[in-house]
Order: sequence, then structure tokens, then C-alpha cells
Amino acid sequence: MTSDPTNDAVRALLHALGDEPAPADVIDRLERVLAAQLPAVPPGAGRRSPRRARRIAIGLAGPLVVAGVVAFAVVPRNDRTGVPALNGAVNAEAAKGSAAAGAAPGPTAPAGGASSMFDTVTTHPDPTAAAANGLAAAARAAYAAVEAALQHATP
Amino acid sequence: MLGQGGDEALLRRARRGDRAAFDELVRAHTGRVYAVTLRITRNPSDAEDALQDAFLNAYRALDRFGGRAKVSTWLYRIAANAALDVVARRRAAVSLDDDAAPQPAALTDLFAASAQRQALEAALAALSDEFREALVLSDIAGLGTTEIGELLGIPPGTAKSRVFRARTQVAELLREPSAFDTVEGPR
Repeated sequence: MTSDPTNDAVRALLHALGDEPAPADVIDRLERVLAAQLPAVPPGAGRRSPRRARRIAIGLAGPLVVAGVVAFAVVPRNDRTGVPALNGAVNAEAAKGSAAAGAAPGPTAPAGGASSMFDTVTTHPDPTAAAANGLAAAARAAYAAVEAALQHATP
Repeated sequence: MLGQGGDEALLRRARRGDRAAFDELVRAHTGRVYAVTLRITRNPSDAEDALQDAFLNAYRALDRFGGRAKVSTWLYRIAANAALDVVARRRAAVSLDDDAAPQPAALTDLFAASAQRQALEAALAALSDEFREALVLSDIAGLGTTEIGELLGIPPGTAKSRVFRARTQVAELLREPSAFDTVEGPR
């Protein structure tokens, strides 16, 4: 024992008390109690912690928002440069459809200029609408992913 | 004792259902948890009950460990709660039947009989319950004054004051070994 123990010395002495092992018989009994009373699996085992779910949600949200922005940016640009392959193929189909409509006009086929206008609308989608659709789809996917992650973490 | 990283890894594994990881966590902390429960309850039998309650409660609360505190702090806090619960139950029982009041622990039988150890244990025993609980939670369990305040139901400032005054009293008692001659058990 120090002859003139200070508060710091007392703190150190008390801390040292905790470094000593518990008596062996106490440990034996503790191990028996835990073996007998603990369930094999702790409550909530396998469930992600709320903290982890939050991290996952945040991690997913970033890339999905970026994907939405990219979709928004790419679709109008493709439209400006013509998007040759896809629009070309679709236009060819539309031309066939117009020819067929002209040869045998049915009750559903609009007459004259109306028919070509209809074809134009279906084969040349509005780039702004397509971008908006892409952005909305990305947002829906992000929302669904975040919701799924949070639901997974909720008891 | 394991480092904080080791404790957290064990806790994560235990949370996934790995019992061996939980057992390892128990082995790493049994000594200090028992030291806390023994100094709060001042009775080996009660301390053992509190020790068992503490680890059972910790297992049931594995999925509620938030990760804001160290695993060891979280465990010692659960242990302190278990010990304080045992003390509260004992006090209630004593108030109903004074004859059943537990005898103070025979400290010299419990620990290695070094003069230093005996003096320290006697100084702890001489403190009031309020001071001893605060000091044990601070210096053996390593809890902060906010956590001590929450456990004991007192403001952090009061907890800090109790810890400081308790430590000062122990230091004074250690300077005057003759004071131990008249030390009595709790209440």
C-alpha cells in the first residue's frame, strides 16, 4: 500500500480489482447456468441491425440516383444523334404497318394523315417523357430497395 | 480481456447465433463483471446471482447493442443493473424480515489476504452504499458519470461528486489503517 495514496492511486487499485479472475467455482456454475438457460439462437439472430440497414439503404440510394440522372441525360442525347439502329428498325415496321393499313383500311385504322401521325407517335417516343420514365423507374427502384432494407431490419 | 475490435467481432458472431463466440465474450469479461457485482452487492451469493443474470440479460439483448458504446461498457452496465436489482430485492426482503438480513461478506475469506487488498476492501466497505456504488461503477466498471447517473437515478453532476468524494474517503482511510478497526458491515 502506498504510504500516501492519492485519488489516482485509489483509482488504479480499484481498477486492478477487476483484472482478477472470478473464483473457479463461480465460473463453473455460470457456465452451467448459461448452457441450461440460454436459447440456442439469440433473439433477432440473423436480422440486420438498424444501423447496418441504414448503411445499406444509404449505399443503395446513391448509385440508384446516379443511374436515374444518367438515364435522364442519355436519352435526349441519343434522340439528338438519331439513335439510328433502334429507330430505323421501328420505322421500318411502321412503314409496313402503314402500307397494310392503306391496302385494307379497317374500322380501327385512321384515314389518311391521321394514320401516319399515329405511327410517328408510337415509333418516335418523346425523349423527355422517356427520360422522365427512366428517372421515375430509378426512383421507384431506389425507394423499393430502401424500404426493403428497412423492413428487413424491423422486428 | 479482449480489445474493443475483438469484443465487437465476438458480439457480431454471437448475434448471428454463434454460441461459442458468446462463451468467449463471457470468459473475457467474467472477472471484471464479478468484481463489479461483488462490490455492489457485498455478498458472494448475491454477486453470483447478479453475474448470472447479467450474462443471461446480455445474451437476450445482443440484438439491441447499438454500437455507440464499447462492448465492455455495455456489458458492465448490464452487470451493474443486475447487481443493483439484487440489492434492491434484498433491501425489500430485509424491510419485511429484519432477521433475514444478510451478513456482511467475510472479506478476508474472499480474497487473497494481502494487507493491501484487505485495506482496500475494508475502505470500500466503510463507504456508504451510495458512495461505494458510484465508485465501483466508475473505477472498476469504468463507466462515465452520465451512465452512472442513469443507473443510480441521479444527475451526472451528483454522480461525479459522489465518485470524487468516495475516492477521497478511500484515500483517507488508506492513510489511517487504524480506522479499519471499527469498520462495520453495510448498515
